[in-house]
Amino acid sequence: MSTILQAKDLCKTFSNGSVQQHVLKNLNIEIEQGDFVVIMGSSGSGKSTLLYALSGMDRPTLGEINFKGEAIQNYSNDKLAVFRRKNCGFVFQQNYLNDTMSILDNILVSGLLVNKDAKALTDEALRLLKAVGLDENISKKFPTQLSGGECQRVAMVRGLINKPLILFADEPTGALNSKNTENVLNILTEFNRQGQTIVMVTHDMKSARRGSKIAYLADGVITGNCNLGEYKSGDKERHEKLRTFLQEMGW
Amino acid sequence: MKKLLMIAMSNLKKKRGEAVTIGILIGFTALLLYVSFSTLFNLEKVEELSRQNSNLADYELILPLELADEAEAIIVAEQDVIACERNTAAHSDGFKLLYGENYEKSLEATPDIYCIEDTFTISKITADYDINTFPENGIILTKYMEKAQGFKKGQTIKLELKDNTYEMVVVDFSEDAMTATPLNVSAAKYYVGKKMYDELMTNSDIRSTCSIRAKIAEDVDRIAFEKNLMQKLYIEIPELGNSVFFSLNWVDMLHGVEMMPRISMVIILSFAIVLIFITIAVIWYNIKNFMDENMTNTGILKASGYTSLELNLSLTLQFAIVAIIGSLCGTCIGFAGFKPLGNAIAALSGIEWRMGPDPVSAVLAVAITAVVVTVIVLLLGRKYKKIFVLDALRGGISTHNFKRNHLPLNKSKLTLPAGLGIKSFLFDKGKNVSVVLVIAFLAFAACSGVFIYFNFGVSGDSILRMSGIEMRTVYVTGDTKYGELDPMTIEGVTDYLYGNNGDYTLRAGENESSCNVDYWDDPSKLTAEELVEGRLPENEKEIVLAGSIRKELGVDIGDIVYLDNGEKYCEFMVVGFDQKINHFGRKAMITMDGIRRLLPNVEPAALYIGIEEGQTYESMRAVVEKAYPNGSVNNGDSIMADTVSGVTNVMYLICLAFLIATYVVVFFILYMIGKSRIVEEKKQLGVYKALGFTTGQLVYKNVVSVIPVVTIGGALGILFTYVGINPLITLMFSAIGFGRSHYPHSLVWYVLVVVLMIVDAIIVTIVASSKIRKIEPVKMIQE
Repeated sequence: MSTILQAKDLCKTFSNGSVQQHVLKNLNIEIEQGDFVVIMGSSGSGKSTLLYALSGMDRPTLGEINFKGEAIQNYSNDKLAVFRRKNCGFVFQQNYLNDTMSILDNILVSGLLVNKDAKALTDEALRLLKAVGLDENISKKFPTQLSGGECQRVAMVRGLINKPLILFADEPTGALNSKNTENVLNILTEFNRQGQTIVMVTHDMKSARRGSKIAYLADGVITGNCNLGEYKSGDKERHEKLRTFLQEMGW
Repeated sequence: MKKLLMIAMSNLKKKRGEAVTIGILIGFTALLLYVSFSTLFNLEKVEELSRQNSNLADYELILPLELADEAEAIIVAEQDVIACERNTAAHSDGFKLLYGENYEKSLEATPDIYCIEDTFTISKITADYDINTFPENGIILTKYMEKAQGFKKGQTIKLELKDNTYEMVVVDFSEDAMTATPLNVSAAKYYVGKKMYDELMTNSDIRSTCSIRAKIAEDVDRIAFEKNLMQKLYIEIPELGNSVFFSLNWVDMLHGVEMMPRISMVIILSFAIVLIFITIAVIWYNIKNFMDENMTNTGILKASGYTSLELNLSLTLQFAIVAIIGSLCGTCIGFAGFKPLGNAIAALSGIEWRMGPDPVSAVLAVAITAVVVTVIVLLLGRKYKKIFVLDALRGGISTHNFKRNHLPLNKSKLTLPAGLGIKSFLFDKGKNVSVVLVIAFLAFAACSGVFIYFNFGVSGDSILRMSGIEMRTVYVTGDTKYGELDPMTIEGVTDYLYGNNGDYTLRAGENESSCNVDYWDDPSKLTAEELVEGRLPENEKEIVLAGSIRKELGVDIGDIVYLDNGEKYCEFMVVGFDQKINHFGRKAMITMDGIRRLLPNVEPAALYIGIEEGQTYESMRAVVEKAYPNGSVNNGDSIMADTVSGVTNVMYLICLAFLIATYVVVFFILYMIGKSRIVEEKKQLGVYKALGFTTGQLVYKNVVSVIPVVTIGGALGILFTYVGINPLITLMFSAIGFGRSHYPHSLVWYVLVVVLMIVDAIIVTIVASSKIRKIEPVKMIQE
């Protein structure tokens, strides 16, 4: 499998007057096509900072981020915006759907940035909505008329509408109940099986179990990696492997 | 109270930008209110000060010298006259004044030039001069010429009369409230040294006139005194009816002094009222926004035990603080600017503004703005009653109507940012209505400014039509050869009109009114006539009355009125009503044959000659002078331009001020709205950026969402102006008998005004949207 995203000696420092906080310290990571990488770590370890640096939403203080061999860390803001719309999809802890627009428009607002064919995009949006277990009719509703789980699934469709090379998910189940969490994880697993590369940040072990690779972050550096392979439901050995790994990491 | 003040101050700190914008609007409103109040309240005091300063005559008669002895004897014999004074003056209708650094400015004038060494104890010369050192070629001009026409002390000017030129130095300016402005009466008083006066009197084109001024007992009705006196004068001096003379009483002339300042202040007051509406709309928008944004805080405060009334009072306190500070600043600016303001009013009235800052007007301006804002906020704040704790804690009651998804993106032909902009506009309908109203009021104000400028500031034609002052390019006075020479036989003449006027009494039943009556040889040739109802007089038994006379007499078309000169009266049938503002609307019009029923020997005092296109006064002057060797030939266009120049200049300034104020207010309001929208949508904008929108696309989206608001508001403003401005003018002048206003509109300019407003809006939205560049998606998402 080919490497599509690579971070070399990545540093991120936040300054507040004379106080400096080094969140990422000479971090290295590689994401290969088809990976389902889960970034774990305790609170404040730099998980989200790493995710946003990798996705071009934030700039590293030092180091290099290569996307398909091209360094993106020095892109202008607008060039980074174009990079994100073409290559990245996002699912956040909150769904961030626009309450003033219908579900379909919420999806198309992202899709139309890349593809001008509204008809084809609409068809794709409806297909994806079906794929995440939502009825087509939901497309005409507004976010406030849906449950939190349904909204998060719509947010996933919005993240996938442009067929991104990588889907970045920042604690996508953090605001959901257990049933909706399971639904969302199943969807992510299914898309990964179909070839979608996913990078997900979580501190939930149940969610982490879905990943093919686990990177553990502590104090701004990756202290350990664990290769879990393809997810199979009810795979106890996989669960044990992850538990042991996390114990070793001090989880 | 302290806790409410704390909440109010905390909210003010959070909403500094909005508070400053509203404060500026309130300050500007208070300034305009102060300016109009202080002028309107003090105008009469200023007139009284002027009257006292010059020991102004209560009655003045200006007439040819040969009739003066008899007239003086009649006046002195009046038992109500306590003092009388008489002075002779040099007069010509054909003076031309050249002034400016290189004599580049000129002024046609019909002054009475007096000798400074004469005695003037009634209507004294108020200028600063020393009789012993008065220069041989010195001249004292009128205050109006200094304030409105740009004459300066120490300036050398040229007085031209046909082939003679007199070079003179302006010593100072004197103010005579009776003849303060040319719109009031075309009898300006100049004063020169004895030698110059004698030299002028040797000029054969100059004739002698006489001013007879009287002080009358305090308790005597000035208007009734003049009416009775005129009846005696007409009887005793029959030649008077055939002469050019001015019979002036202070009460009537006072209206003339007040007219233009009052009109201007009514315009400014109207703009202040429009600004109050704009401020209310902005406050409405702000409160709506504030409540939406502050919903959770409201929930917390209500949960802690604050009542809706207390929250409403804290909101009211918040805006009242802004209103008081803003209005105090506005009136302070008015206080500081009392001198330039006084000069502007002096340019309109022709008398010095002898008042300092006016505390009563200031208190009133502050009180009105503060009370209006407080009441409006109290009313709008009642919405707190409808906010329930749990709803508020959840982030707000949902007032959104989700039944319709405006402009679905899959069906939109617009670009994505444009589509989002339009969606944003359609979604925010509630808030946009208040912004549309603000823009509509502003567009109305700006278009009204343009309307005023094009009708009253460019050519002065409308002012002349309002005044009813008739004029043609060539204007002949003196011997007009009426009945001897047909003016149409002069080459280049296209039309002509003979006219004269006099003061009479009109009676209808038990009602009577003194009025100035114009008599024309052919009223159908009038060009400055504003007929409101009926038709013009066609024969010697018909009369047209102006609005004020109609009110005073209580007559209608078809009624009979009696025109009385004291000795005799004639009946006339009312055939129409017109509107005029000179003589405060107390005017009437009959035919020349009509007046001859009362005064058989009356002759026209003036001949108005219209000329062919391509001809000018200069090209026609020689031929007309040859045709009327005993007449005085004058440039009518210049006389009219000079007569209205002061007014047109002020109207131009008012229009300019309206336009600048409009664009500045549009800038501030849209900047405030733009900024508050960005704060409101900050998180959403961050998400859009995360999804891959560039800053440019988001700025474009904001611009697109503003354009429909400004365009609809602007279109409404044009509509308001088109439909409302003429009725508004009618209403403003209804007190002086205005029944109809139908001044033309300049639609192209209105559209241009709105286009500039749209450009202004685009620029300000781009400026306000510059903050989008600084929005970091990561921070928005991690917040």
